[in-house]
Order: sequence, then C-alpha cells, then structure tokens
Amino acid sequence: MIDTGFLLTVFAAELALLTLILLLLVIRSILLALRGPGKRRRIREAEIDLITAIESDRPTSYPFAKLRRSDQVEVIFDLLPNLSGEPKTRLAAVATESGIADWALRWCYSRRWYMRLRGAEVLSVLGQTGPALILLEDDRPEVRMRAVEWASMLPDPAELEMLCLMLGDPDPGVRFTVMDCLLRIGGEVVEPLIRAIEGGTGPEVTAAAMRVASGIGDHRLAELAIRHCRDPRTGVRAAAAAACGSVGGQVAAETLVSLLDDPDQEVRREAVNSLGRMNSWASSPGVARLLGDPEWSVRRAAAVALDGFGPLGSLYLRRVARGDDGPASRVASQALGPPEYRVPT
Amino acid sequence: MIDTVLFVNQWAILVYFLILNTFYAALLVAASRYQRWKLRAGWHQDLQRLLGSRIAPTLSVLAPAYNEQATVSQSVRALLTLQYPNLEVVVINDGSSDDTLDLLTKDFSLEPANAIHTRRLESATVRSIYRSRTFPDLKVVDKENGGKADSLNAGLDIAAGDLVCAIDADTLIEPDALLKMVQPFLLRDDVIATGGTLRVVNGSEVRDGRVVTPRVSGKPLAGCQTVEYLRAFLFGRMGWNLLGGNLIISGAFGLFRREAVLEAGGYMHDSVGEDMELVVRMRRQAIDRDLPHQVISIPDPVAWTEVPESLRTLGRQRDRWHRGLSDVMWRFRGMAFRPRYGAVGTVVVPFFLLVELLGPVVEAVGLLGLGFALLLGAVNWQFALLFFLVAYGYGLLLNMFTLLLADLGERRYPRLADRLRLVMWMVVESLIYRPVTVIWRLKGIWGYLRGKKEWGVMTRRGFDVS
Repeated sequence: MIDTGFLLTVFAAELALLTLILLLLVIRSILLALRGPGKRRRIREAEIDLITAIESDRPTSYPFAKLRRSDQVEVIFDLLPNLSGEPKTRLAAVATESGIADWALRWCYSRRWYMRLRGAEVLSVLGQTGPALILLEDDRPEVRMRAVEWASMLPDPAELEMLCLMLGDPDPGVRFTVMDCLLRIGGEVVEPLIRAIEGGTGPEVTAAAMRVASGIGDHRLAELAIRHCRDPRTGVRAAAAAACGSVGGQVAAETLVSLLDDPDQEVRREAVNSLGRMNSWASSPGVARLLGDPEWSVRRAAAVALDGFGPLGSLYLRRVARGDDGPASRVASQALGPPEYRVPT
Repeated sequence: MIDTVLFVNQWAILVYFLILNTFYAALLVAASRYQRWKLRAGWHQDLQRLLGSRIAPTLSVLAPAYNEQATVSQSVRALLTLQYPNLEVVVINDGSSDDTLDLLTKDFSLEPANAIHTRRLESATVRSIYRSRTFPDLKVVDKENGGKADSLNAGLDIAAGDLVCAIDADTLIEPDALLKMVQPFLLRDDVIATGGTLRVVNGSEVRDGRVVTPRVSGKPLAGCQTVEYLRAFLFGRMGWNLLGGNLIISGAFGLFRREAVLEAGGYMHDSVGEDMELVVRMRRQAIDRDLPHQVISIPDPVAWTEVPESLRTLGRQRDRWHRGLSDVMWRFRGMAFRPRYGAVGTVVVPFFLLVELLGPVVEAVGLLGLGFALLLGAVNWQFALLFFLVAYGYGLLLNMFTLLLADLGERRYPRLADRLRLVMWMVVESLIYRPVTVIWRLKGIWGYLRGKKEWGVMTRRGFDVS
C-alpha cells in the first residue's frame, strides 16, 4: 500500500536534515567554544590597552587596530558610554581615526534598515554629527527612535523643531522616545515646544507637548498651559492641567480649581494632582469635595493632595472621615492612616 | 470491520500529526522572524537609557509569601535590587503561620502605613498594611490565608503601579528582567500583558540569588524539561506573537497592565490554572469591548525556575497543568471557532483545544491503535514506520531547529559540554519524554472530569544546590 521507495525517501530526507542540523549545532558549538574565549580575550586586551593609552597619553593602541570591525564597534560600545570628559573625547577620536565613523556614516544611507540603525547607533555613541535629520524621517520606527536619541544629544535648532513635531509620530515607541529625550534636553526645548503647540499641529502633539511642559516646568509655558485648560479636547485639557501644576502661580491655581468640576475624570484627577503638587492649601474646600467623586482614582488623588496640605488638609480629611459618605469617608480614613497614628480632634 | 476502523483511525491520526507538526513549523517560522527582528533591532542597548527615564511607567512587583521564613528576606532584597526606575515591591503575607511577617518587620523596619487603596477585587480580609522605613518602595500586606490567587488580588488592590508583575516566590529573576519586559508596552499601544522566557535553573551555578553560569542538568528529567521549556517558550509562545498573540503568561513571572487586570476582575479563586484563566478572560473581555488585547512573549530569558527531578512530582505538576488547561478551555469554549474573536477565536483557542488539550488523547489512541492494528494486520510495518516518521521524526526535526534558534539568542549555554548535552536531551525528549507525559496529561483530563481541584505538593531542592 505504502510504497517502500517513498518511505525510504522520507526517512532519508529526515535523517539527512537531522544530521545536517546536528552537524551545524556541533560545529557552531565547537567554533564558539574555541573562538569565543579568544575573541573575548582580544576585546578585553584592546579595552585595557585603549584605557591605558588614553590615561598615559600614549598615541597608538595596537590591539584595537588589529580587531575586526564588528569587535571594534563592540569595544566602543563597551567603553564610551561609561566615560566622560577628556577620556571620552580621546577615545572617540581613536575610534574615528580607525575609520569606524566613516563606516557608520555609510551605513546611515544603507538600503537595509538595520544597517541604518547601526550607523545611527555608532555615530551617536561616538558623539558625531551626521544625517540625523534625514533618519528622523525614516520609514522604520526602530531607526527613527535611534535617530531621536542621536539628535537629542547635541541638537541644532532644526532638529529641535523636528523633535517637537515628532511628538505626534504614529509609532508609540517613537513618541515615548521623543518625550523622554525632550525632557532630558530641558529648558532648551521650551521655545520650539511653544511653536509646535501654537502651530496648530493637532491634538496629539499639543497634549504630548503639554506633558513635556509639565516635566520641564518653565514659566514661559505658563500662559499656554492656562489657555489650554479651556481646550475643548479632554486629552489636551488633562495634559494642560498637569502642566499648570508644574509652572505654578496664582492664575494657574485658580484655573485648576475651575477644572475640579470638569465632566472628565482624567481632567479632574490631573487638576487635583497639580493642586497638590503646588501645595495650594487655599484650594482645600474644592479638593475635599472631590473625596466624594464617583471615580476612585480622583478620590485617591484628592486624599493624597489634602494629606500633603498639612494641618488644614488633615482637618478636612478628619471631617470627611467622620461623615456618612461611605467611599469618601473610607478614602479619607485611609489617608489619615491607622487609628493609632491619627491626631485626635 | 475492526480492521477497517483501525485502518481509518490510524490514517486519520497520521494526518492529524502531519497537520500538527506543519502548524508547529509555521510557529517556528514566525518565532524565527520575531527573533531576527529582535536581534536586528538590538533593543538591549536601550535598557540602561530606560533606567534613567522620568516617564517610564510605574511598576509594582507582587510577591505572595506563605510560610517563607527561610527565604523571604533574601527574596525581598533581591526584588528591591531589580533594575527599574519607578519600582514598588508589594509583599503579600498570605496568613503565614511561621515568622514570615516578624522577619519582614525586623529586617525591613516595617511600620503601619496609610496606603490608600480600593477594594475592587475579591480577597480574604486584609489585617494591615505596612511600609518600610528603610526602603520606601516596599509595602507589605498582611492578610488572612486564601491562596496565591487571593494574595495576588489583595496585592492588586494595594499596588499603585501602572503595570503589575506577578511572580512566584521561587523564581530567580534576572536583574534587568523588568526593563526587558516593559519594552513591548512602550513600543505598542495595544499590549495588556507580556511574558518572558523562563529557563530551567537545575544544574546551573547560582550565587546570591542570581544565575552565574547557565548549565544543562545531567539528570534526564531536568535535562528533558530544559529542552521542553526552550521549545515551549521559543516557538510555542514567541511564534504566537505573530499569529494572534498568546493565551498563557507564566504564573512564575508575568507583567500586566494593572487597569486591564482590575477591569477583568482579577484572579479567579476556583481555577487551578488561574494564570492562564486570567489571560484568556482579559482577552475575551477586551475583544468584547473593542479594547486593546495583545499578549506578547519576549525571547529574552528573564527568569529561572526549578523543575521537578522526580517522576512523582513531575507527574503531579503536569496533572495539575492539564486540569488547569481543561478548566480554562471549558470556561471559554464559547470563543472557539468564533470569527468575532479574530485570530484568537479562529486560530489560537482552537489550537489550544484541539492540540494542547486533546493532543494526549489523540496521541494515546494513535499509539495504542497502532499496536492493535499491527497485531491484527490492519496496517503493515511500512505504515508504522511512516507514522513514527511523521509523528516523532518531524517533531524531532522541529526541536532541533528550535535549538538552533535558541542558540542565536541571549544567555546561551557557554560550555561545549552543555551544548552537546542539550542536543542529547533534545533527542531523548522527542522520542521518550514527550510520549511519557501523555500519561500525566490524560490523568489531568480524567481528574478534571472527576472534579479534582487540589494543587498537589511540589517538592523542591532549592537553588543553592547546583
């Protein structure tokens, strides 16, 4: 019924494939076992040589030049991120002289996305300038993310403008990286950020820019944050409320109090958080009202804010804790802590 | 008549194995593509950067502890040293009758805390909440005994992180595990849970709660399970990333979006497969409400677990796992073959139902039927050989490819002896170990049908013995 020839063919094919994989595995294992330690040793020697050369002002680093290109890159990735100041500059110069930077620059224009990524990685670690602006518009999010990090290291005005606009990038990973990098850059991004918000670039950019503004807390952003607290879009209002808490000021506090009655729970929560952050104890009555909010996260934020207001906040908490409103009383009691810790009224 | 039945039955089972192994091959291809992308993208280089980020999501590690006085302080210290910028550790003392709580109080200077929390999930009474004076990111919840699921629910109510990580007390976690596990949440908007690759610790060199040198155990059972874990995590779970997403996140180490878990109602008390039950429920509810529902597995080995080294303990474990699977499949049977649930309903759930759950039944019927058919002359030796080539030879080939794939990843076994040992266990696992597990899995199905609910006792040797 079953042709023996067919059976033997299947058997032979399986056996051949198995033998091939087995051979591959064994050969790879042997090669790794033989070459691995040697490669690691060479890299280690090159690293030690480079460090001592830099420390003793010795001009050449013989083992580094002898390494394969990929191993040289590995050495640079191992050492450079852990150095700063003069040693970092000198090591970057050694790497550049060895031709790594030229290679990396060529990789940035490769047709393969992972080569462009590698190029951007190497150049950013070396602290070199290059086609970051072009890579910021790359098709692949992986490359854009790396280009964002690269551009944020020593950003020129054009790159800063571009980074702020990328807050509306369609890829979540890129958006996260842009926000993270803008926060690391700090005060320098305020003006481009203002231009990005006022340029009418869409609610996503405005909301994300407001989140960055709340992390930077620069007074130049105050007027913009207050204005956007009245934005019709809830996401923007919530982010603007968070930004108000960072920039501070009487007008910001009054605006935040007006947001305590916002129909959106995220906006109410951000407003309470911001008032707490500003230590705006004068807003205690409004914040205490939110201890009875239907949304638990808002009640929690209100309790935390009141707890931070000091004696006046505690007074409100104790009053609500003794009250009949179950959820409000519970969250107030939790904020006051275990009974033995409570100050008697 | 009997001859004909046996003949048709054997051919049907042969075709089943052919389709099954071809599907596994598709999973392997999907896993390879994912692995290739991961290697090219080289995310690991961004990890340290994430460590310094001000906007990384907040994360709470939930660690249930029941009568763990021997190891609790060391475990908590290891958790507190995990690399992550916004980390909170919540230890849940599940009504321990030993000195677990006293030790924690003494070693971490605990004091009663005013943790503001909600009671959204069902759990046994919480007696009190403590916070450490010396480690402000450590909270301890003291509650009445209720089991692991109950403890995790109590922890979920008290945790403040955007993400929560559920762990087993006996899992060894890599220091940068959280940084790796959090990446899918940053890269995609639709992820509700991530799982990492668990590796077998038996035989490895462990020092101060960390795996210093990964080794492959020389003991057959542990060795076969090392291979089994490699296969299950590499192509079993990573492959699903591209084919509809996962249904399982290991209870030993999984990361969840807290709000998604709370929305789903937390862990179920009455399921022995509570970790899988939660994931499937989260996905079903999210799809029903048109919300994000992706569950991603990452190829990086993030945690190490000790596997049973005796047949008796292993049998109990597999029996429980299969009872859990049976329970989950029965609870969510309505999702199978329903296009409304997309790839989850049309591919993932049917696969778990027909292959993972009923696979042992088919395998047992196939092997026994083959014996009878040969005895009665319904099939000839050529058929028997073809059956083994399709069922086990093909499987062995796929296993070998998995080993190649694993070899390209991180934290491979560095010693030549270990790598060769792994190849040896791969053959033993495919041809001997897997058919043997059929017995335990059948026992699990039988136990579920009889309403058996208990977990069974797990005997562990401990990590310090390498």
